[in-house]
Amino acid sequence: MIRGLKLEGKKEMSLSEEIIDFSSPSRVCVPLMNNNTSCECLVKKGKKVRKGTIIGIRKNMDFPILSPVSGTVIGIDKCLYLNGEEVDCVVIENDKKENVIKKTLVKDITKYTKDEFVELLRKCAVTGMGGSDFPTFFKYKSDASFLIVNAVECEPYLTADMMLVKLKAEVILESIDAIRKINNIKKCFIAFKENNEIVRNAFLEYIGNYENIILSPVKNIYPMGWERHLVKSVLNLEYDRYPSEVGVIVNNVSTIFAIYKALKFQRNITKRIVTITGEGFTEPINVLVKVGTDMSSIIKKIGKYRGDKLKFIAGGPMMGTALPTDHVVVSNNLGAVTIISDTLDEINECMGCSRCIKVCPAKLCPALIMKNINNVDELKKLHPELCVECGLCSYVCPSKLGLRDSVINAKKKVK
Amino acid sequence: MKFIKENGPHIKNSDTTSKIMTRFLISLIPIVCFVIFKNTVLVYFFTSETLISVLHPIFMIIVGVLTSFISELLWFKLVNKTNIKTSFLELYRSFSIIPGLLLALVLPINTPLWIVAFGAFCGTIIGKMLYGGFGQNIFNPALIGYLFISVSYNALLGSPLNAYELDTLAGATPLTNLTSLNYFGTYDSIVGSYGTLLNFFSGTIPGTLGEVSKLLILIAFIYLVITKTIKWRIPTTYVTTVFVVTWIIGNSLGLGIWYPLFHILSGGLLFGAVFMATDPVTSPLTPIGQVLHGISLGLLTVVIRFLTPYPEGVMTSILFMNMLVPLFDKIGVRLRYNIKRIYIPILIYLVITILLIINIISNINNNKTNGIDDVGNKVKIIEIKKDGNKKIYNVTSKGWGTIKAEVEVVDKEIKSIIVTDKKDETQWNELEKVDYIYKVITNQKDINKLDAVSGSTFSSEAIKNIIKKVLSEELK
Amino acid sequence: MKKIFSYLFKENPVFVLVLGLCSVLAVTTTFERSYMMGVVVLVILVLSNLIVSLIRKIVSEEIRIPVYIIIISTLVTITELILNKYSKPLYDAFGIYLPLIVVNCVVLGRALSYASKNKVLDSIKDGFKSGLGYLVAISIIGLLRELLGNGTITIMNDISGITGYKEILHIFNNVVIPNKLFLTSGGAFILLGIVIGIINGRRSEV
Repeated sequence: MIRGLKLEGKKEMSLSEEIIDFSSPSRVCVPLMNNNTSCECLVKKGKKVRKGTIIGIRKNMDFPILSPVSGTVIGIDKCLYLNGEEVDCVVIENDKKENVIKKTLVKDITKYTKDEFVELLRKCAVTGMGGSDFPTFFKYKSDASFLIVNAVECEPYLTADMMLVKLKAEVILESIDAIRKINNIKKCFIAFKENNEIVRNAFLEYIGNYENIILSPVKNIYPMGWERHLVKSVLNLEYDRYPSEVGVIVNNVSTIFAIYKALKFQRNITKRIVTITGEGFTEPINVLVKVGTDMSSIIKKIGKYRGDKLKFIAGGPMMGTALPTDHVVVSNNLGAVTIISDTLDEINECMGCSRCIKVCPAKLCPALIMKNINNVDELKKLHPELCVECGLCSYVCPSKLGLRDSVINAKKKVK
Repeated sequence: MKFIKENGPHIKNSDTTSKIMTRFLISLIPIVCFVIFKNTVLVYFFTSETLISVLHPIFMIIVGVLTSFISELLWFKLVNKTNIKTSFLELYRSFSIIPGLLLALVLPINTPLWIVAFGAFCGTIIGKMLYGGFGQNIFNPALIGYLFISVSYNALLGSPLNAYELDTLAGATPLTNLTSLNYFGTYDSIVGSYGTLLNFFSGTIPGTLGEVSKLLILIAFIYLVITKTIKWRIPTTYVTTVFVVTWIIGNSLGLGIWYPLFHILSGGLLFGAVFMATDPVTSPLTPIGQVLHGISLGLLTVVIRFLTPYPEGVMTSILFMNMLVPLFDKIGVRLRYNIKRIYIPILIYLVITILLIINIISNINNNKTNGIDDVGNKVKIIEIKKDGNKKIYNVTSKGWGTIKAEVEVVDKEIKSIIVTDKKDETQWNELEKVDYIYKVITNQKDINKLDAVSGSTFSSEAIKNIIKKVLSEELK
Repeated sequence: MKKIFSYLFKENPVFVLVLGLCSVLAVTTTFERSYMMGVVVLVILVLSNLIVSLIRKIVSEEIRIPVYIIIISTLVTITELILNKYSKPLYDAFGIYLPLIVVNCVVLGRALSYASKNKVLDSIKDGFKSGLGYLVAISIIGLLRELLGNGTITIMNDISGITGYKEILHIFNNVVIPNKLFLTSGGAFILLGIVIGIINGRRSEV
């Protein structure tokens, strides 16, 4: 059984025909972060860089961080990252020439061998763009028989993936086909919400040209985009820790697009679509921005904040982090910023309504975890380590308790 | 620009605790209206009662609600030493009136007002505030109040009959009647004297204030489940268990489908299952725990109804099972991650149920075969003294407890009964109030027609049995 | 005066150390039985402390518990016989709880922890202190239980055979209906809990 809850989508707010291009900022701050691990800086002040120059490296995985622009390194500075922390960023003055290291154009992108493909993904620094920022080449190291492309975007408000599909459906399908052929994958599935006509129509237009790519609509519930739910819903398979155990790779649709860039131009991703949305913002829209851009500069150009007691959230309202200021830098995994007004909650004691238990997609008992928060022995039996931090428990709680926080807290205690 | 920094998620469901409790109160409104209709409007128009006396049930509800409200206010004021404004805020957040209201609805109609106040006070202070207030209590506060009343002033609890019913109906509530019949009888003897099962369903039978109208309780249940206010698993499994067990018992005794229906529709079973067993604070959180809780409640209720002299058993079971809630939750958590082990509780419950049913059936069958000799079982003649034409029987009789008495007989007619020991008899006060022994002696020729004193059926029966036994001994 | 208060409430065996509850819960249904139980325990405490203190140098460490128990049970048996002779109603009312004084922790506890190590006079003093504390505690509980549960205070009834004086006060005079709860053991627990709570509250304030 797939557990979850139907949330109000509010996606129409930021949907538009076009996305606005803001991809030439005067300077960028590239966070030296990958999958919440800080990386080592490899450039010095004054160094000239081009698009694709290695500016940092994640040591334990030998995974590079590449420059998204051409220009001069000004220095290293602390900037606000999407997890709410100030992290080291390489600040680069953009000369707006868009010089690349090496211009390549591969005609037939299916001609790679598997090893070449994995190496290419590493060199081009392709990471999970749905939010995890996990190096993608890792997933392709082992053999897989199924690929699930995640175009679900189950968080409310967010439309970045939807816009990407709408504009680049053909390219995405081409990329999936190439990945399939290179990795000998039996079948590819594109998962999207069953009520999402835009994604369905965009793919339907081109899908006839490709074999073994199947559109598989999934239920409109949150958190349908969770890997476990997708694998269960699309393939009816269950696994213990990673989907690779059952031969499945799950990739976000924007990661697929990044892989296309890598395959076709052998280049890293330098821009991404970010949704700026929420009731607290006058002009909700999707923008195309360079990685490393300061979000506040773009927001200033588009519209104004509306109302007081606002929250500036990096990501969607369910899993995103509320930030103290709007000077967040765009990173690969920032899909959206949401500006909404604060909810006025009347907090009460836990009355034991058991809604959190009913709704938890990971089958946890958040209310019991909160009650036993100081009893580690008891906590171990409640398995808080299975939590995916989807936040549904806090969402449904009628007493407005911070259940997710206490489960995350318990997770740390159990470790 | 500054933004609010707070941990997510940043959108919340619009349902709140106070909305849930408001829905709970809304579902009780029809039941309160029915109470007023049945015990005030009907009684006022069909009997010659004064207005003040027919308003008694309304006063009971008001007193219950006010007492629990005021005692909680006093607690905040005197113990927590908060100022008036925050006290009222706390009161709003802890839903103080619900224990008092529920308590008033489970009491019989003729309960004195000060007893209602006493119960509401004990329930609120001891059952709720001493545990740390709303959300921390282990036991249902209303039931704690009920417990305190029944331990302290059992004899003073009034009869469940209103003035209108006193004219039309005989004696006790259906369940007390069933107990005095040893749980076995025909449709006419068990249901017949109160009309049909439809009367049970609509609520025109004697019972405590809120429990009688099963129709309205069912409507409230559907409303509460649709609005996701209560845990639906508990009442459904509870009632189903009672139904199945009593159906098997009834079936093996040759009684029809009306027997289990009678058990469900009489007494406070539905009221307790819907409004008290589902109290969110004192019921299990895990779904499997809820199911186990419901089944255990059902089995315990059957045990109390069939194997103890207490006719009702719903309140006691709920109160007892409140203690086991953490256990059910633990089992629920274990089984949540290891569902294959579900066969263990199923087996345990199956064995318990089968043993229980066998025990009850053999018990009833024993009583059935000894049916006529039942009096002989309960009354024992210890010695007979002869003094001329006067005979003095020294007897013991089992009622609720045991009564010892000396019976003086002259010319096969009972002249006097002197009760020498009534220590074990809890309900004796009621008998003394109405001078029951005198009534029994004057009516000795037609003893079966004499009604039992309501509220102390067992003691009345004990006295009546003495007469029967002694007269039959004389006639030998 | 302060000293008396101190050892009555700060070192009270029942209220502070929560010892010897068996008899406190069982026999305290009337005031008279409570204080009589207190007196019996007081006497036994003083005597047992006296004897134990006297023989403390003769008895070796290994066998002292059996020896003390024999001493205490001898004293209890003597008391039992006396009560049976002079006040049968009280003897019946106490029932099993009179012989059970043998295993009352207060008595054995004082013998073990104090009398076996100290001089005779000090031991008698200590026994008197503890016994008085027990007497006061059990009397308070008995008084409250009878008053709340039955509406009466029995000053003297069972032992009127000895003293020739009999008095039962009817306090509420049927105006207030007494609460039967307090006559049950559960009610005794609740009452004891409330009293201990009040005393602890006062102690922490001081």
